[in-house]
Amino acid sequence: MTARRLLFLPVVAFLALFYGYPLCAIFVHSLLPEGWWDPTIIARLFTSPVYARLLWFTTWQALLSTALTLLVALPGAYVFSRYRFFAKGLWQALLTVPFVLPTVVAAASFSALLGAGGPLNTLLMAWFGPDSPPLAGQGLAVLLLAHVFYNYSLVLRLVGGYWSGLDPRIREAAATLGASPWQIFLRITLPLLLPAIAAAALLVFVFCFTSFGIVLILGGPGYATLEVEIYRQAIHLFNLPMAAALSLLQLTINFLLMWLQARLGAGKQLAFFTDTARDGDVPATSWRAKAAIAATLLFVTALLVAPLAALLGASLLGDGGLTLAYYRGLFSGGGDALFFVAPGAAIANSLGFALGTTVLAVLLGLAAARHLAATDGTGSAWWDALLMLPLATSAVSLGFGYIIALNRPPLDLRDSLAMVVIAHSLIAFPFVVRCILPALRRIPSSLGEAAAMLGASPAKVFLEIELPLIRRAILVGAIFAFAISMGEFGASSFVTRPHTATIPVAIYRYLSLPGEMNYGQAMAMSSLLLLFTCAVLLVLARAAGSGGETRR
Amino acid sequence: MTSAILTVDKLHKSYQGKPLLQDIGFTLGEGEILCLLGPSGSGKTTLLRLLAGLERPDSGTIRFAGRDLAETPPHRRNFGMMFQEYALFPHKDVWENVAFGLRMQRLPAARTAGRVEEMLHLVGLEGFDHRRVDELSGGERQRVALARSLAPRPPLLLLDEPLGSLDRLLRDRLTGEIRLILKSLGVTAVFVTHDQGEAYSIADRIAILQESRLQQLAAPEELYLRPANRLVASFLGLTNLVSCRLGQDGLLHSPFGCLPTNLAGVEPSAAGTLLLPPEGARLAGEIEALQPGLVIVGLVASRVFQGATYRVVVDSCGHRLAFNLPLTPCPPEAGLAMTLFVDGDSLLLLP
Repeated sequence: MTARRLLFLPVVAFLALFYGYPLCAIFVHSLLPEGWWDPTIIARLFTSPVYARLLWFTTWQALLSTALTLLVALPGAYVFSRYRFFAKGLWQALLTVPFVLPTVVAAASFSALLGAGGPLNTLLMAWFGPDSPPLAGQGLAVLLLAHVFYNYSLVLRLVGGYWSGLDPRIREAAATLGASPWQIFLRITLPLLLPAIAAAALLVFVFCFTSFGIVLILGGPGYATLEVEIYRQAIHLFNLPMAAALSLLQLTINFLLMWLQARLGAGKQLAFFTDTARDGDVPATSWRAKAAIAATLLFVTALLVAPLAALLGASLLGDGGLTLAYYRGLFSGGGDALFFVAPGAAIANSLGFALGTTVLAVLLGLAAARHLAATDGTGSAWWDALLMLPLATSAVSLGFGYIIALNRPPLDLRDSLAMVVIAHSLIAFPFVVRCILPALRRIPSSLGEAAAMLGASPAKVFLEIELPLIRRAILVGAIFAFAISMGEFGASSFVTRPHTATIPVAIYRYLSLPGEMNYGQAMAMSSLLLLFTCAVLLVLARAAGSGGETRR
Repeated sequence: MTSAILTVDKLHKSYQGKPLLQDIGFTLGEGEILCLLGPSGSGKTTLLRLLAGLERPDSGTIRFAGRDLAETPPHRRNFGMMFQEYALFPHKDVWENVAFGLRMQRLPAARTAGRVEEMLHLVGLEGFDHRRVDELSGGERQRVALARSLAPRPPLLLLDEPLGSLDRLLRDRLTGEIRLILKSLGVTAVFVTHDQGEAYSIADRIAILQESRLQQLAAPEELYLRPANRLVASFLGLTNLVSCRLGQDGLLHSPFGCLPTNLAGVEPSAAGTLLLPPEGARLAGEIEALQPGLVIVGLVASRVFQGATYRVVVDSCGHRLAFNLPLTPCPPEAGLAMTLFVDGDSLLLLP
């Protein structure tokens, strides 16, 4: 018990130093830019129409994205929760891809699909004969589409999982009481689903509101969310006080949204990688059901498969047809890499950071989860909420906080490789806690007590009983941490230096450079990251799927 | 009973201001089996966990073999414990479960293997070594748990409702088996249960815990024949309790008549409760008037055939009393009047 408390102290220290401190720095920079109280910059946020428009755009694009996502995903949730069909498991696996797909890769995929030289424009030009590409690779429509791409499967999993978890006997009971199918849906199913739908909608809204990589790459010059503006002010204009003020605004809104989420109990619906679907589904018999399934699968193909296929295609197609030139370019040491890291080095950087993040996040997550599992009641709920805060914090604000807080003594980490690892760990560790905590809580306290009665010291109890029982959960958490680090872009865009750029940062830079070779290399790197993501998902499915022995 | 090996003195424990245990004190002799019997929430499991060291008392002492255990953590007490749902380690097979305590003692491998084999033989699970524990039936799990807790030769074995999750039949069989095994090894044991039958057939002595206090500590027969107070009596199912008082005439006055105070077990006092044992009544004939006793005239509320006896509930003088009556002469059926005679010798006056 005391050892647990002792091990929790580093977690608290880590959070205070690398979460609390940078956030405080943002606070200070925005309200006391010159060292004394000066609210003029914050006031500018509310007086200048520029920022009002920024906030308004951020809000309505998130609202619109949420509405669109719900519109297309709810019918999908119905089909997936209700019917059994061919290769359903495979489709479900495919739907998990966006969960771990780095935003930069998603953005690159849509750019590949809808860009000037992309397959859609090529087809349209060939068939209908306009001289210029009719579709734009950037802009509002693309941005919204990418948001739907990202959140479709989230809604499908959250609502669909909840839907298939509803006891079918409730519907049957209503039917025996004389309710028609439509009445059953309206009076029984919908009211029961509403909490799940609300929770999913709020989550989607939060994701779209804090969307960074997608908007930065696909929005084009005309569109900026708060996150993108923070980045622009800090990196391009070097207006740190303004960036800090925007960050403060972003953080405040984030916390409000998170508070709202907690009030709605949305966190409880949020199981990251647990099997929510039961075996309550039935084979489709009517032609309408079959048509619904076909339509859903067609939509999933168009939404999910097309962009990813376009990305792979773009990475392999050059002027003269199929080519591996872009891939070869990645590892040939890059001649024009004067200003930034060569692709091969970025891959090495990413792998190194991801390994470091995995170790750090798992250690922190394990210590935190053990503390949470051992305490109960309000204290536990309080800590639980506190540990989850980094999840709700915008990665961009966090990264920005790092460069203004950790750049001077006593904590000067500017040139330290640790900065990236620390930032990634902070983002990844709440996920690790979420993986490990349920497994720990599933262990009955009597197991540890039984071991103690047989002479096992607390350390032995941990090694002999707890650790073997949560091994899989730790593995899943570790894989998550690794994947999160590999794909992280928001914070990385601040905390990486030119020579320590990670794959997503490098992809972004190559995408914003002119030239076919640069574009092709961005596609190649994105493809590698996509393949890596798929591999991670395969491993995850195995690790989580065969976890039967821990579930007792 | 040999000399006391476990001494519990003035034990108090409360949780969030609510007392769980108050002023608990008793001693236990070596090789003795003590049952902690009481309704749920009476604090019996808490007492067991205090003995195990899994919880700390607010005050009071627990001494084992002359040593105060206050500062000894559970893993250094060397006690064995059997948990309610057995708490078998799901990631270890039967052999590894039983060997766990021996490994913690760093016993050489050969001796560990020997002892595990011996234990599995003792509980009748030879050949189960490498079975997964989730493949075992309830009864088999219970045996593995017993073998696991006995393997390190604990000087004191604590059992927390070890039969609670088994069905009636299996439970009855294992109850007898557990006593045989414990007695053959001469283990000192504390056994928690809420089931009287289980307590009667396992214990040398029974401690009744109720309302967080130790109400009575006695051998099973003694307990049933002489419950210390109303609380114990009603818990044991002795519910025919009527209040009485000592009159000026030196007689004990009850709603069902007067009794001389020199009857067995009756100590004169101003007022008390009279316990009418369910087996103490019979249908009244003519001769009864000559013997001291109580005559109960009332209406039969119900008559239920129970095999060897009838369970007859009778309403009389505002009391509802239940008796087990022999099959012959056949008692009247529900709704009819009945006169019962309760022998004065079977009555017990409770404080």
